[in-house]
Amino acid sequence: MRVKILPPPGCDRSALDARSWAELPEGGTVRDALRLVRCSPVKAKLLLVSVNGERSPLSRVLHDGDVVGFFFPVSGG
Amino acid sequence: MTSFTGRILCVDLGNGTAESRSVPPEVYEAVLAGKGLEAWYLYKHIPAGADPLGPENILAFAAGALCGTGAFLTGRWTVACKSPLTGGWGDANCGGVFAPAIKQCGYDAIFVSGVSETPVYLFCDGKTAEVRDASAYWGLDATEAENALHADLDPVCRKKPCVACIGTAGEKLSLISGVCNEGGRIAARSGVGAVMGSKRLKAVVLAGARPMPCHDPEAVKALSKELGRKIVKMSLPSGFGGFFGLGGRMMGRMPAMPMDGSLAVYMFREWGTQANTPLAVTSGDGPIKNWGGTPKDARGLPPQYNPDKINKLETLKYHCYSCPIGCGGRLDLRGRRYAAYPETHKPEYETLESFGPLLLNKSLDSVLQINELLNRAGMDTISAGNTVAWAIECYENGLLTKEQTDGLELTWGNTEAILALVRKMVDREGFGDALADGVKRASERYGGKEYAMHIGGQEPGMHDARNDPQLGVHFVAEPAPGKHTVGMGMEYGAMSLCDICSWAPPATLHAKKKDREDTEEMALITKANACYTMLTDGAGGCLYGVMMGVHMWKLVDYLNAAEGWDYDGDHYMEIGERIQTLRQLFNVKQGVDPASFRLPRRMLGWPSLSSGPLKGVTLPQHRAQVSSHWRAFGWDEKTGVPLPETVKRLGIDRLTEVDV
Repeated sequence: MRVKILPPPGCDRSALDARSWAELPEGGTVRDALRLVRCSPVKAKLLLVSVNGERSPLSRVLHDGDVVGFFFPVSGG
Repeated sequence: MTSFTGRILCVDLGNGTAESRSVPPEVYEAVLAGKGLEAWYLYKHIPAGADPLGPENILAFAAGALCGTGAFLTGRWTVACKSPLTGGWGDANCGGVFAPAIKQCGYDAIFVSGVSETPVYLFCDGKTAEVRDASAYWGLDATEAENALHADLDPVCRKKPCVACIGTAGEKLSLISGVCNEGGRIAARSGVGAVMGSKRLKAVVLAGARPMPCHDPEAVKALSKELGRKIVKMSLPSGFGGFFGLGGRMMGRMPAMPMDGSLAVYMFREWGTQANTPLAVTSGDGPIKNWGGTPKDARGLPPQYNPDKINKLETLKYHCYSCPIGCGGRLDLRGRRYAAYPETHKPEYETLESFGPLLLNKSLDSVLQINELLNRAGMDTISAGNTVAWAIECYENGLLTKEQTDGLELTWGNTEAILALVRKMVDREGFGDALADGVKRASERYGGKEYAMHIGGQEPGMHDARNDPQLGVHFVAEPAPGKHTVGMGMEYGAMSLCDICSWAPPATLHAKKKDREDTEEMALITKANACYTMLTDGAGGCLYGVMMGVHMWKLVDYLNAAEGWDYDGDHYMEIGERIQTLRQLFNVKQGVDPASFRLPRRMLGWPSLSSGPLKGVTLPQHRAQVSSHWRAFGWDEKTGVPLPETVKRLGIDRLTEVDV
């Protein structure tokens, strides 16, 4: 399955394609996605790791098309 | 069935008539509603060379395509006209509940032409539309006028009316005035309030109760349910606001990168846009000391604008129509310093920045008062703040004397003088009279053009092009120059547009300085920004939806469900491209030279800053980037004029032959 991973700074993006999508085996979890981009679970929890905009435990099973993201302040307004 | 009512209301204040007209479906297919419908109508019907403050100018009020369908974050209404500030396309938009009120009267938009001899207001309840005497409301500020209209009309209307009106700034034809609703929330930019004032139209009062159409309400509801569930569950640990100054310092040093914008909803929900102030001061995003200062000059300011401090004054949180976020709030000002008003709306970032760090003003209390003063007068805080900053810099450099400023000591951070000057601007009294028409006019009268920060006559929003060169391109390439809401680098990183649009480049991890280079990739990014924003405006969407990204706020899915269409993202981006090209053609028709819009030298980095995150930053390739942006749109790369083949490709030649 393909999932989009938007890792925080300092992570390894080499497993991601140009649009930040990556292949994960069926049944893969958030923890597996983090491993793919070399993001530590502690850092992920601090940055409120989420799936499709919902804060998620590392054990959450991912599905095709899911987006794994982290909190980052956005400037605007 | 689509979401469009298929009808517009055309009002002529010269003879006091109001006529309902039908709009062919092909127009909606081409430009949706909202700003798209306005661009189509105004381009066709405002004659070349029309006086912006004369009878030939047309003032439009429009709801977006998705308004009333059940789609979340689609409650924006847009006012458009020929801008008296720039001489070209002008528009401004606002939230609240006025957008659905337009549709509940049975219209997608209202177009007002002509000039009334006496003050009037437009009343429409879906059955009748009439022009009524407004002499009893003329002279009232926007909040007073709205309250008075409610007091008079609520008892005789079947449904509580919605009011959009001008305050005294619009009545006095201030070229930086806007149109207000809901107690001073304001569609502020482009001088739309002056156009309304020139027509002697005090208010538009809507009390219709018609159902709002939608092709597949269940499908729309399902999309909203999914989005709403996520937004409601979002929260941040409390006390976070005090760290934003530090966070900004980190942001200023970080590279550009793709990110998950959906999680920024945490910030909007908790604080609204005001959370950006301490971030902006330290990251290089927010201008300091009339765009010439650095975080060193603003030392001590971020804690004054701690968003948690402002939230402690909040007595009520409120939401716009169809919004589950609720970034708005009312603040209790009783007992605060300078408290001329007991309460105010929670200020937006733009207001806090333009009357705080831009002027080195450390007094949050004064900015809260200015917020209420300008909201009630109906004056744009961005333009007003930039104009006050110019006056201070002129005074500090001896270009203005104390005699000229009516005795005001206009020095950096002089809160009392800033407050007094804003009051003078609102009242058009003495020195404030010239400043009430914005910084370009003021500098033409008094000198100090080198300190006048404007682009094509309009003052820029509170984001620095040196920090975000994409924004610099939009500031000048946008038909309504100086607007900060068309596109930014950070937003692009959060939007994931490449997942719905085949030609939109993916956001990448890269050093920010790469964004200062003129590349084909950058041209496509700025084009994608502008197309998606225009699409959003045609749909009536909120920029929070844009920032969340396409995986969270599913605009394409919403539009297909609401209209019964089956188009892909490329098709919808072409609608955005068409709207933007129509707006550019409007400027060309009105004799506005797109190439005349220039970034102020200071924003280009001349002279460059000596410290902080923007130390030494210049934008030598900025003009080349603008040319590349125009070329990506199919506009002449030297003049910015849309090429005939582009007009034909987008079907604009056929579209402008369609009549109502």
